Amino acid sequence: MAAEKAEMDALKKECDGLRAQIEAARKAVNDTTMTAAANGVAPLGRVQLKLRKSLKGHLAKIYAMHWSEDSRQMVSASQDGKLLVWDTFTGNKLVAVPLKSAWVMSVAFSPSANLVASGGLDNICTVYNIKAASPKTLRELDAHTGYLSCCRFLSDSEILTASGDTTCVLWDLETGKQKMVYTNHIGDCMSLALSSDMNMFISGACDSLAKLWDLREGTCKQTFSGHTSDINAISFFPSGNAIITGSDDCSCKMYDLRSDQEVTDYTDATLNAGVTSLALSNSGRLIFAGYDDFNCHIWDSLKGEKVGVLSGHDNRVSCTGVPADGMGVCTGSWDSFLKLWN
Amino acid sequence: MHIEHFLSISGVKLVASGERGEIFSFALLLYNILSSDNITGNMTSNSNLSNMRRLVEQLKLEASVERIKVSQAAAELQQFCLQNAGKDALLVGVPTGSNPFREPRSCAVV
Repeated sequence: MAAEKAEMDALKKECDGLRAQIEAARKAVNDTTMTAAANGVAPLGRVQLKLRKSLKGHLAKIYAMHWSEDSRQMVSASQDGKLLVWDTFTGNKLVAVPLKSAWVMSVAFSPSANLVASGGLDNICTVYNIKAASPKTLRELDAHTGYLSCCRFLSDSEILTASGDTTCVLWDLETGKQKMVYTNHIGDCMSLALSSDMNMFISGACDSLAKLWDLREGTCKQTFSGHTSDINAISFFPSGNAIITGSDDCSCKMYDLRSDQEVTDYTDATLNAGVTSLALSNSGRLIFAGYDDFNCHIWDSLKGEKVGVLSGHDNRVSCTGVPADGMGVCTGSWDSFLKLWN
Repeated sequence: MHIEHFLSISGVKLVASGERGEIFSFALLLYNILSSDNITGNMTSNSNLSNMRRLVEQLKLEASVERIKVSQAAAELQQFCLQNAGKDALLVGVPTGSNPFREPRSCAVV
């Protein structure tokens, strides 16, 4: 008992020492702030995007949406128990997938657009083949012990999921088995994003931390703190060297991966609503962040200023997405509509 | 966490009235000992120790990251934004004729 207590104390001391070492190393490279460094960058002026389409079809709150890589099709998920695949150029619905469980929280399109996946309070990630004559369930990935908050395909044979059970999991779709389990968060994982080379991914959780993971090794490489509440949304900056997070603490933050620290804080005294979702424009200059205040606010990522707003929804904006070709933004809301802006 | 909740989840039932006072104070003592550890959810000292060892290994890994100066990181992010600004449709705007989301206004000759 005494030996264990002694080891415990020694380990605690080592932890504290390492934490202080990390803080000191971060401070040592903190020679400026992003916003100060961006003083010489020309301001954007007001960014005014127009509403181009309102997609009507869901009968209840929309919780998630994801663009296909063709930048034309898009899939949305609603607690009316349906996934809808849309042709955003015409506004037509292409496929309707009825869900076994209506409590859906996440949806994803595979890069090939042959498959879509969804999951939620049922703790299961269900993968559907939407190219078949009628949508067919391909796999039910059932091993999480908490709700499915986010899912993203690597290919038609691998998918990554984030769960309320605090883990993220990489699944093999051919066998339906877990290939890797990523444990380190101490709160519900709420969101994840894949790096473009698919060697890394980032996750945001209710422990207010964002983590960078090595996808193949299964290890957490870096941890980013700063938020004071749940992180609901996370995304890579298009260069892959920085990440943006959105939180219930009403702020978004940019963390640079190579300086290993927070470099910008996107807050506004008049914004007192939590951030639910976010997406970046193709150059990374614009951050579209969906808030509980029914709007999607637009931030200048370099200068840290609010430069515009997408107003039109009658309820919380729950999901935001920019397609691969960067031609527009899609917002989805609890008001059951999806809106396309550019 | 209320004491009754703690007792119910740890499977301890309060017995008949006479001994209640003693059982309550024992449960309170147990509760204090077990909840004084920062790592929640573990009831044995062995798993606390292995958790702690894992935490130390994780921190060692995170401490070993090579860091670049924020000024350099900021400069590179800026350069990326400015280099790609011309191709960012949401920044420069989409020409009316080729806007995929916009309803075509022209009439087609049948």
